Amino acid sequence: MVSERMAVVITLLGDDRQRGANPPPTVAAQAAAALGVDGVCAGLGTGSSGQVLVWGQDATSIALEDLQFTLGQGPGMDVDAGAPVLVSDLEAAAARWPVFVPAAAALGVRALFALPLRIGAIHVGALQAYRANPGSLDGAALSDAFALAEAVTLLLLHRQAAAADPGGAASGGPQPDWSQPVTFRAQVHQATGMISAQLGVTLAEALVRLRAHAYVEDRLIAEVAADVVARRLRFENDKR
Amino acid sequence: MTREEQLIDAFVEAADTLVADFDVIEFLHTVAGRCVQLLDVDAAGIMLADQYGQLHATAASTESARLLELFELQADAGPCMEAFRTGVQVVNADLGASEERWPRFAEAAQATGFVSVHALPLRLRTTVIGALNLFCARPGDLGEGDVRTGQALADVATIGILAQRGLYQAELLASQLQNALSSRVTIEQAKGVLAERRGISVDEAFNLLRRYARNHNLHLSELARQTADGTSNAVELLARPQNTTVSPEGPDSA
Repeated sequence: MVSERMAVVITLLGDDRQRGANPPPTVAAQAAAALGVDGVCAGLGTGSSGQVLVWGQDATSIALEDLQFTLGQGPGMDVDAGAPVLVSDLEAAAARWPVFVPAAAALGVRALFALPLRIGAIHVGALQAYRANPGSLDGAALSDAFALAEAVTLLLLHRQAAAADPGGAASGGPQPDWSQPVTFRAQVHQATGMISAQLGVTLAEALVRLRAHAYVEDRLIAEVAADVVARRLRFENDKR
Repeated sequence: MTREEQLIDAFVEAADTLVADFDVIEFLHTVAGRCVQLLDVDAAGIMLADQYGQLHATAASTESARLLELFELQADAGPCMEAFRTGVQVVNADLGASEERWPRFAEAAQATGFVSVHALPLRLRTTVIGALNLFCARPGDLGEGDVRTGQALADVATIGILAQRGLYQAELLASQLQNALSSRVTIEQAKGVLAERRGISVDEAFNLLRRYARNHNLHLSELARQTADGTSNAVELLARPQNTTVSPEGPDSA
């Protein structure tokens, strides 16, 4: 279960005052404290083009990301496959990333946990948490980390949508219920797929449109999704 | 085939899968299907827990919206939630007498035609990661042999999620579990894309997806990802068949 501490962090992330902006940096420090690590950062982008850090850019996280991009190896690269890469002791994993591990150690990083920022096939980047001392994230910290990754994913999706369409329905930032787990109902994801085919847009945009529609109509996202799946509601272009 | 032969077959099949490169969602579907073949039950589903302790339907013996809804209704209260929270089997729960215990779930399950329900925990040492849900449409208790076989199948499902034999750290388990949950979300998204593009129901979309993956020897999760994000070159899967009626509005109206 998600801790009180992390629940506070997630609420702060979606704070009204931060709408449209990158997640506030002070919250990254609070997130790191809640997870029991020394730093947390989030980067946009997948694949060989590397990531652009958009949250928690301290000197160490910037250097870590530069290293992984330059060397083409490291947990932050491997997370692209879609599964979390949790390395409680980098030294013990030196065989997997032979060049990265000693370089990370030189930065004082001995444990690195990389989580995909992902909702099904929507893949926006990665969340990375590092620590100077080896040691695993315990079960509670892991739950917190997954919840944080989901919240950051949604926040970044909304931020991207708002940047692409400043006057659009998503520009108000994440909606009040934004930190509710989206993975709760299968129909939400089915509707996302249907809307993406209806509008000819990416799944990421379809999900944002679905959430924005629910917000504007003041309905639950699950209800709107049920209407889409039952074909009582169709999304169309240029009619907001 | 005798029942014993069927049982051996099921476990040999599982072992064969686990030593090779396999798709976890497809594997869980096979396990759910085997439950219905081998046990005196009419439907089976596998539920996995996320970081909020919320259970998600990850695979089922038949992929129908009604059945998926029954799994989802157990998010707050139901046999799977009980098995997950306590780690103890819930066996032969009479739905007719469970209206106080699980009001919404009991009502919906009876409306679907089931009379009893069972939930077996997916356990790994001291951790419970989800539950195997079994439904019966006819009166009569599930025998002790069936419960034991069911639990063995639940254990096989757990091992399948872990995938890497011998590596039982909490981190690896969490990582695999998270990946299985994400793969399931991808499949739901792909069902939506396919349902819309071909003008079929989401249930039909799943069957199509699974059949296509099998016939072309593809991983279900990978095919789902490509279908969902539009990178699939499986033209015959995505194209609307010529002989189907197209909705009068056409794709860009309404």
